[in-house]
Amino acid sequence: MAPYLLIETNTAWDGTGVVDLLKLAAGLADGGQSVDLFLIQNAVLMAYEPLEPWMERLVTHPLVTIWVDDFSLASRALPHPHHPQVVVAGADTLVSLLIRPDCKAIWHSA
Amino acid sequence: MDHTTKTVLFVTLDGPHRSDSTTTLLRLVEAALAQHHEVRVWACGGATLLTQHTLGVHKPRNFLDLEAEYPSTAAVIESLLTRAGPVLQWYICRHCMEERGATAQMRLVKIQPPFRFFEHVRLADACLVMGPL
Repeated sequence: MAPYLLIETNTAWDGTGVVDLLKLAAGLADGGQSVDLFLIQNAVLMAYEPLEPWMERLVTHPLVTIWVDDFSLASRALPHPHHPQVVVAGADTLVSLLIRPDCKAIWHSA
Repeated sequence: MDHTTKTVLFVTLDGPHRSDSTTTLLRLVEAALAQHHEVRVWACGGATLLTQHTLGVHKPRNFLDLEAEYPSTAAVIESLLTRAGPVLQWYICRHCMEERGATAQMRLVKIQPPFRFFEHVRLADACLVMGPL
């Protein structure tokens, strides 16, 4: 089954399109698809408590992995998120996720 | 994860100052090159402004820090292209470039007709379209 890579650059407070992407991630995972949600740029703010309701659902979904960009955290002077289901990673990981065979990548910016 | 050599196409549409996306693009290009992939960048829309030689080597002086020098996007991209050699190709959409008057492109980029985009997508093993559509 082809993996999905969803990359978000904004926060849920920036526009409804962000929540739409989170809903898409949940829908794909509920349908049995493997989903990697990569939070980068301002989207890293969504990795902190209290989580946005759709993020709350995604972090506990067995088919979803949530990645948070290390550079985006560092450039905003943010500590690593404490949630055990959230993985801090860099651009090399994002490239590795992207080049997987048949990976379907969606980049979203508001 | 798979680390065999692939051809990776990054498509950027974002202008240089609207968001962090230019920084993200440059990080991804560097990371992909470090993994020994062939990297192609297709610059469309406002991203055609990134590679103009008229930007010079440095950004305009920061009057809050007169000693500091910050490289222009053109200088950073030229450095990347020089270091990487033919494994990195930077394509400029001619239509978007002309529409913005961004015709003073640096010599290392390749100006392409818009329809060539589909050929680059077809040839790529992985493609990421970045920026607002």
